[in-house]
Amino acid sequence: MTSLIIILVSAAAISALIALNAWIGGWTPSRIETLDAAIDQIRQDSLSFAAGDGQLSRDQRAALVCEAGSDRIGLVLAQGDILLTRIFHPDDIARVVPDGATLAIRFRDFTLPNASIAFDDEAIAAQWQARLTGAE
Amino acid sequence: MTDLPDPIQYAIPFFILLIVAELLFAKFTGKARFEPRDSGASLAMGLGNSIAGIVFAGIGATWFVFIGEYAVFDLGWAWYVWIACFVLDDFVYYWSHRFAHTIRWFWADHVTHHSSQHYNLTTALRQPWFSVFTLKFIWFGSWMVLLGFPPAMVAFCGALNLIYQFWIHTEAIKKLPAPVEAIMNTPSHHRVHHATNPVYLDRNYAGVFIVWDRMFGTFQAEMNEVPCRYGIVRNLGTYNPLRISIHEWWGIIRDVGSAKSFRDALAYVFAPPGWSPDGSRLTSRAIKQNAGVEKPVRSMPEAPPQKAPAE
Repeated sequence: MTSLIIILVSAAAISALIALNAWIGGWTPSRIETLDAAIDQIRQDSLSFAAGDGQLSRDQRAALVCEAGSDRIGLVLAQGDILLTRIFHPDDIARVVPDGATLAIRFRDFTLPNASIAFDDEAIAAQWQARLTGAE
Repeated sequence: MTDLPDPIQYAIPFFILLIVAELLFAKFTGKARFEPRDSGASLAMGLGNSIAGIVFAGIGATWFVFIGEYAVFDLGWAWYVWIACFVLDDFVYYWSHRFAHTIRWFWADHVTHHSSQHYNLTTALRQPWFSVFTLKFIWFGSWMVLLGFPPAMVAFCGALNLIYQFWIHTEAIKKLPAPVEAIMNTPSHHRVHHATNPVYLDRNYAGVFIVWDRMFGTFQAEMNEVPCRYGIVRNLGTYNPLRISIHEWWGIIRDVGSAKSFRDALAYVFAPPGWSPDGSRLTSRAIKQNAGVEKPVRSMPEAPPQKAPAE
């Protein structure tokens, strides 16, 4: 019984802490300033990554960078107040759905969120769709 | 087994008060960072860990009562036995923690604690749910009881050790006076432990006393010129506590399923995290070698030329 009370009180306290955190703020949504900043971010996590062609999304919340001489692609995603970095192969992608100049990407890895990346125009989106699916 | 109170239950209100204080500190100074979804995931994982502790408590207790029968000495309850128990328990913690980073079987459990890219007091509570399946209470928990320390005393000292480690998960405290930094685990030392910068990887395993790291060559001081980047080598993009809890276990299952030999399958489970038969992934040691920082350093060396891609 004591354990149950402690768990219930803890659950209430956790809810209150999250609400307090949401209410008082104290964080700034992250944003990728430039493509170079995205490449720097990738190279911090993967020293040997040789950056090739890359693209920053229109809203500066995502960036994709090809690795020179391989089919690997570096991804930088703004999430909350942090930047999430991953390097993946086209095999790691479950689905890429184009919608005009936007690509909706679903990864096989269940620890990665679905990403919706808006490019400047449809031609660029189509080019990246080909790269992401290994067609290029 | 003698009944002692669980000090963690008494510490919970202080945990909550300190988190509120750090939240306000973050808001008004900008010198700490919180994000609600990240905090929520960490706190939910702490709650899940407590529930798992209650559900599985009987397994550990039964084991300790059983091996207590084979204790070499009967050390009793004298005050100096308490002190010896606390210090030795911290020594055992150092090694269990070191193995938790260097053997993937244990890392699959411990990785959850490192999976936040934030470093604040809620991160301290981001704890695994399935520790019992690693059987670490057998491998690491038995020594003290076999030596003759009363199981309840060992459990109590272990809980005090965990309570100590709560307050060091903060960016709000920079450095403490040198004698404290020399002997005790501090926020500065533990920030290094949670950082993924190559020079900081797999350093500072201490629980309470940093002297173990200094003794066994795993100490690395925090350097002003190398700000800590928190998280894990392959950071997670999910705030779902269940996904965070199981992701590395799932990775092991997938790797073992694809192993080309029994030896490879064993290595996927018991080799260091990041091991792969073709070297296509990197262990912490390989990352440190590539960055030229295999040994602890006093200041950052010039970056060495990079080797060919092999992440």
